[in-house]
Amino acid sequence: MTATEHEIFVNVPVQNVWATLTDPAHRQRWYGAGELTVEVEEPMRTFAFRSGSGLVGFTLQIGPGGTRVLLRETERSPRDWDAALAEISEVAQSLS
Amino acid sequence: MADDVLTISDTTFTSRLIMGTGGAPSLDILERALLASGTELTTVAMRRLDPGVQGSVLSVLDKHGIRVLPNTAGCYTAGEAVLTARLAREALGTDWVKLEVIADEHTLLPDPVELLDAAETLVDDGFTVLPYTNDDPVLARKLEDAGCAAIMPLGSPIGSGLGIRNPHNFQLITERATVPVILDAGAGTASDAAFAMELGCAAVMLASAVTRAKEPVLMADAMRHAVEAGRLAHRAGRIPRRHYAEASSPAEGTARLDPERPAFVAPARTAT
Repeated sequence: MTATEHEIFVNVPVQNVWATLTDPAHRQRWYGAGELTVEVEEPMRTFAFRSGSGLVGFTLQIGPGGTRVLLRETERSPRDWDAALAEISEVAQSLS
Repeated sequence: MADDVLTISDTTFTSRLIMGTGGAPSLDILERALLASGTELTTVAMRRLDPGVQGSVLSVLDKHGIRVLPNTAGCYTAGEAVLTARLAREALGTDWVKLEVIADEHTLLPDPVELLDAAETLVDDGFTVLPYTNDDPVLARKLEDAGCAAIMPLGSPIGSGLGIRNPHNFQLITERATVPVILDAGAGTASDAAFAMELGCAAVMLASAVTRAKEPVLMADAMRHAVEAGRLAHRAGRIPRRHYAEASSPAEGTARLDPERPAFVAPARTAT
């Protein structure tokens, strides 16, 4: 087991990022299809779900001119999270 | 002292000094300070570590058999803290968590509403929760009632080194609590740690006072002795404070001086 972190800043309101993470239609773009087992959901702030045997958590922080997105996971998964975050950024900006 | 152990949940410790790892000038100094402190339980921030990296704080703790206590430093909401605790549990394989939910980055004071909310959630989730809290006896009671394994009130703001600003509240908390009360935050030097123990704290948690001292290893040693001395003094029981002096030597049996007679008469000698 391990913990890794990835972080990006997206120059859109937190609502856009939140919708990108939690709306199944938007989520499909960066995570793929399928149901998620949500572990923590705190609107506009924290979203965490099971991914395989690991836990993936997003923390959002409102900053000047946008939203800081912190992603942490407990298990090194084969998923390319940097690419996923880039996709999240793109989707969130398209919602503006 | 060997039988005077600290018990948190179902685990006993012979050391009553819990160390933090933030602010150390180097990993080597941190390691030596931890050893000098004699600590058996040390906190690490999930945001500051990667358990997979060799030469990390975790490897130092593992090397010396020091138990890891992950904390939720940097969390501002209950949800963030719950997430961080769960990440820690899965990453480090421990269900112990030092719960920190701070209100703002300027004071770093705990947010009591979010803290209690997170504590209840984590206790329900099977965690052994040690919450960093305000020195508020009411909140301390609520946290204990929620099932927390210890209560960790602040002496003064994190990193301030101002010591215990409200000893009266600490006494109220320690008198009522049935779980260990641990001073967390505010200790600046050894006398602060000793004072906390004299007030009835079961242990002291500190980081900056050691890691930011001019000589961290020396201060760690001082803290170890201060905690032990404070604990002994608490068990021994301090004397009551009095408004007036009270002589330490008894008045009974002292010589009476009669002004009509010499104070000392030498015994008569027999001439030979």
